Amino acid sequence: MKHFLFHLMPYRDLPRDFEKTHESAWVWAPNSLFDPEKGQGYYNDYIDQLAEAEPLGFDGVCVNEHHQNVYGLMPSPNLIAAMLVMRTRRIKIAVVGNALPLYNPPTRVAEEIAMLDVISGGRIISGQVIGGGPEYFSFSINPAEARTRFAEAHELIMRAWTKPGPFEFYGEHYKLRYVNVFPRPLQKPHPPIWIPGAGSLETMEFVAKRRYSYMGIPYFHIDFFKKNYALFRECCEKEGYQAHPEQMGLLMPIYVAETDAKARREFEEHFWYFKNKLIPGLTLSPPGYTSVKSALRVFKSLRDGKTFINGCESWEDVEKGCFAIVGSPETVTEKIVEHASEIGCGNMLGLFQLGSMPSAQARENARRYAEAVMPRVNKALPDTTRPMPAARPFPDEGK
Amino acid sequence: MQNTTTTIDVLGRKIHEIRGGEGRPLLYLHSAMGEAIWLPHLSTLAQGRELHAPAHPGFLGSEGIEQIRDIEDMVEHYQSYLDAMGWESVDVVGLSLGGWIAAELAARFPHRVSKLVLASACGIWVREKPIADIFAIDTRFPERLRNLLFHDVNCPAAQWMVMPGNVELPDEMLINIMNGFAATAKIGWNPLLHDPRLERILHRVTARTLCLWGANDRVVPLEYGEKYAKLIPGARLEVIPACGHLAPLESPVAWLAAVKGFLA
Repeated sequence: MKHFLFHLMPYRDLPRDFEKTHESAWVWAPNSLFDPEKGQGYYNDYIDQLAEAEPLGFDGVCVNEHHQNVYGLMPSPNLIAAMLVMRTRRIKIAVVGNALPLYNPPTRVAEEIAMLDVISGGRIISGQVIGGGPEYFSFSINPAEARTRFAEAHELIMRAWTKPGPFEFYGEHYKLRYVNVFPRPLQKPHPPIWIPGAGSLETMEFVAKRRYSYMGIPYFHIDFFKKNYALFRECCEKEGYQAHPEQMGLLMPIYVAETDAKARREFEEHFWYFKNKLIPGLTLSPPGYTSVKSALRVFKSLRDGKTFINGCESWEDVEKGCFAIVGSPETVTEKIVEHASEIGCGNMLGLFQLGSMPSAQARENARRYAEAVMPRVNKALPDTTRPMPAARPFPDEGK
Repeated sequence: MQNTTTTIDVLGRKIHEIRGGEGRPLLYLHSAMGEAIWLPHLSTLAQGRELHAPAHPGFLGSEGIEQIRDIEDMVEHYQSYLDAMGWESVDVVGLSLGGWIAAELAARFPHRVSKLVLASACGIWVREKPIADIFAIDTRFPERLRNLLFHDVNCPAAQWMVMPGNVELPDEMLINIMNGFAATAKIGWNPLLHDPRLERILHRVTARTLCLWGANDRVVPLEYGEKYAKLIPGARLEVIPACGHLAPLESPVAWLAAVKGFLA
């Protein structure tokens, strides 16, 4: 099992009544709430937490991109990745991901990721995402073009990394006379590609076909993940190969303490801060943002009150849906082994700081995980010796 | 003619349309609600006229939204539609989004529109009175949408109108609503439901024009009616008192009297 420390970089000091006075943590949460002096503390703490993943023995760290919200203070994950490149020597740095339709032209992503890959000595994982629904409000990018822009931007980036330049790329959305990204990435043919998905079949088929890795978008009921990963494995089989464990990753809030009771006691308030204050608005789904089939599925699962984290009202709900893995090292190990073996995933992505959790507590949590959980999980679920399938290049036809 | 539902071929796109009535053709361009269905005001418009209400690409199964990137493409579509129908020129009534399309059509192809009714039409911009961001409406609060669309939320239409999120809707209806909204977003997400070029070409409109507004329109405020009436040569503005954005539903008698009177 590969273990990644994922950080969202949340805003921790919202007013106690924030969720009563604000409907959304996204797009419209006023930026007057941001206290730059607190921000200085957060960023430096959070970067320290990420950098510490290396001495603790993690395999990598994950940063991600969100805009104009209190949920995550990382509008530019590539900036944070750049700092981490200089603070670490061994671990992977996964940017999961850059929201491609928000970059124009998207060759910007190809350039920045290539820079990071070259400087880090080939330690970058390139996550590529369509961007969250709220981002289409925050960037005024047309959500009805989200999918076609993503597909085109992705193809452009992959070609920019693999095809000798300069070449011309004339797509529907991006028309570039001279694509000639300089530098090229260090990893050959390009950094590993991770694609997050919320269960849409189109995304899974695409990821399976290209031999990339599929990362389930978090905060869903564990049964929803299990169903989705089963579907993903099926998609790989239809492509004529068996899914590799490292093509799948499970992202979860994780908290480890000496006993189950102590873990819940220390963790619970931060979970509710996260769920009540930071989640509202995350699921905004502007028109055309997903296919109607997916939109209908999401619409229904948000309303049934069971599938998504927003439906959690009691600790029992949290436990039942496994919206967070919380407990003693034994309990946490047991749950990870149970779910990861059923899902077949070879990447465990943990959120060790959640919501309002103070830094010292988050660092202790990550340390306990690294010392007492990681070795046990690795023993139960050893890495496969089977090589990862090679990503498929885009056919070299003029565009 | 009986009320019928038909499919028309426009540039190879299958377009859903409802038709009814006898007389000179009258083209109705629907709003983002997708009302190419027999709502009462459409039945009344079909009296004495041959009413055609096509669904825009993306609405009610009409094809071709993939090829439409912006309002200009939508107007090209309607020019081709007029060709397909064999009409050199026709009277057009457009509500809200449909009014925007109608205004663009009349400005870009003036000879093809004889009389024009712009009802609660978006398409232009008044800085002091921005059009409501209908895309940001939270479906968890259907009463907000109702409040936005109607002056009096207790009027009959506001009560029978289906609000997504309010009730369990059949999948087919949800799909139609979602597709219609996605098609609206495609042409109207940004800039929000208007085309900055339109106000510079409205002086070309030769159609006799009626701008028809609810006095208390909270989506496209009355100032838009005033601005359209000022920019279109010879246009007249008629205001329905105590009425909101969906004027033909909220004040059908006054709205229909104004439209029928103008078209007579």
